Amino acid sequence: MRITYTLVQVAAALMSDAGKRHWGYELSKLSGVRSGVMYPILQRMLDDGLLVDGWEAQAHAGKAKRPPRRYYELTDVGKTALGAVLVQARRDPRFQPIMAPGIVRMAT
Amino acid sequence: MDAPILHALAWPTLGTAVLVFGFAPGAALRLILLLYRRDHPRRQELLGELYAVPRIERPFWVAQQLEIALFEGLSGRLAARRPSSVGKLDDTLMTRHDSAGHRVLGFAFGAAVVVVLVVLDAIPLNWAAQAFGLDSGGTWLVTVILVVASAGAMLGFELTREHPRRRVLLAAVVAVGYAGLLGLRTEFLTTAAAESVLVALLQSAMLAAISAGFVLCGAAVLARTRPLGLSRSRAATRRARQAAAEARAAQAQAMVRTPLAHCEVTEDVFFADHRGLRYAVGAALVGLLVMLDVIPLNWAAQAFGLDSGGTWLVTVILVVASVGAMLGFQLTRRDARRHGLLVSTVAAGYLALLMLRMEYLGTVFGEALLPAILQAVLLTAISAALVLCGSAVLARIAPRLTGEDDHVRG
Repeated sequence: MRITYTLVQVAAALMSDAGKRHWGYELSKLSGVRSGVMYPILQRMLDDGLLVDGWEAQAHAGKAKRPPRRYYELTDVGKTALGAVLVQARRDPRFQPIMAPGIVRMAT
Repeated sequence: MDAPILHALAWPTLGTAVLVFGFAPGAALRLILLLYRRDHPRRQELLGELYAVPRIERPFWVAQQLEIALFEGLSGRLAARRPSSVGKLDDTLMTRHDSAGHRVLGFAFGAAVVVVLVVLDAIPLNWAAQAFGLDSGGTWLVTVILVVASAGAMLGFELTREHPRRRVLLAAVVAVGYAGLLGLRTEFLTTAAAESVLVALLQSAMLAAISAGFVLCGAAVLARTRPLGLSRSRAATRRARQAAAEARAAQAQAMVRTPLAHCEVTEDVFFADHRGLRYAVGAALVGLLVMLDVIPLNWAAQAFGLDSGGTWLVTVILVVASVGAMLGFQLTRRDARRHGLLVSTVAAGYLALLMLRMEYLGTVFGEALLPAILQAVLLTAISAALVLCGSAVLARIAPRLTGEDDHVRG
């Protein structure tokens, strides 16, 4: 399987806290991937059932005086699949600079 | 370029740039989001995230969203509008207004694009209007007349689509108009600004070409825009078809099985084919962006304090560097280190231009520090945004296939 740099970055960001709900801007910052590249990847993951999405509670957003945010959460399938991506990336020297040891341990 | 021109042009351009990149990122983002379908979740998502982005990053973040909206939202809209075997289109209207199926843009969207083109055309037309040698009010009046004529030309090219003779006549009239403006402008530059004939002619030709380009783009957009009645009919059809497609997608989703046992992820999950832009269209878009980039880069080049020829030489160098940056971003896409190095180099270059321009505005024009900073930052932001857009377009261009490739693909 071919793995790209941006995929590994997004996967690493999502798996950095696999049980947590993530949202777009935060993921973009965490992964260092531009939103123009990241959103299509997220959309594909959603389409393939690796992620589920949802909206922040209106009450919470209202309290912060902003529109509700869209959250992404890894499914069990997604955790396994992205874990596999990270394990494969760890073996590939190209991805060494972006593979934090903690993330890889967690993925394995 | 001479000082009065700079002063006259700074404010309309400044206003547009402020609106888009500066103080109204929320409004700009809402406009950008119109590119998405009404029911696309990205509309709400990006609005929700805007307020989490630090204020200083917002203009750049909003500029990035334009890139996504163009390639995700717009392509989604076009895909949704493409006739398919699912559902029936309003055949009567389609046959009457668009028998060839070229009208892929909705009425509202097409009209909005044309308005944007007309507004952008006001800039070169205002330059041209200065050649009449009137005072400020008179110049703006002439600008308005030229803008109306320009919009009329766009409409005229569309209305005479079925009448080749009238169309040729219109094209001749427009060409004569531009030739007149070119002559006036050249004379103005040689007499009022004491430019050499060659430089004056070059400047005037570029101005006329930019304005003519906007008119042709506007006519092309109009040719691809559906009339209001057809647009409404298509929208109703699309909504019905979309509801059916969503129902089918939900059914298909329920049947998907991911090969968990091997922890495999299918390649097409992550390697979506983003290169959907045809080579010719992509190359033309990049060419247009580079042409537009000439304007801010020429302003920036003035800060070197050279004579007219020297300024144009610097402009050409900056344009080449700008094209190099677009290509460089594309070529280093898969190499993060080189990409980072390139980004740093480009950022350093823009920073240097920004500081030079600030100093130039402060010393030569006696601008206060704040307006000088604001103008210099906007200039840099506009040029940088054009480079980013260019690199984004390059990233989406499908490679040109050779005959052999075609054979293999077939």
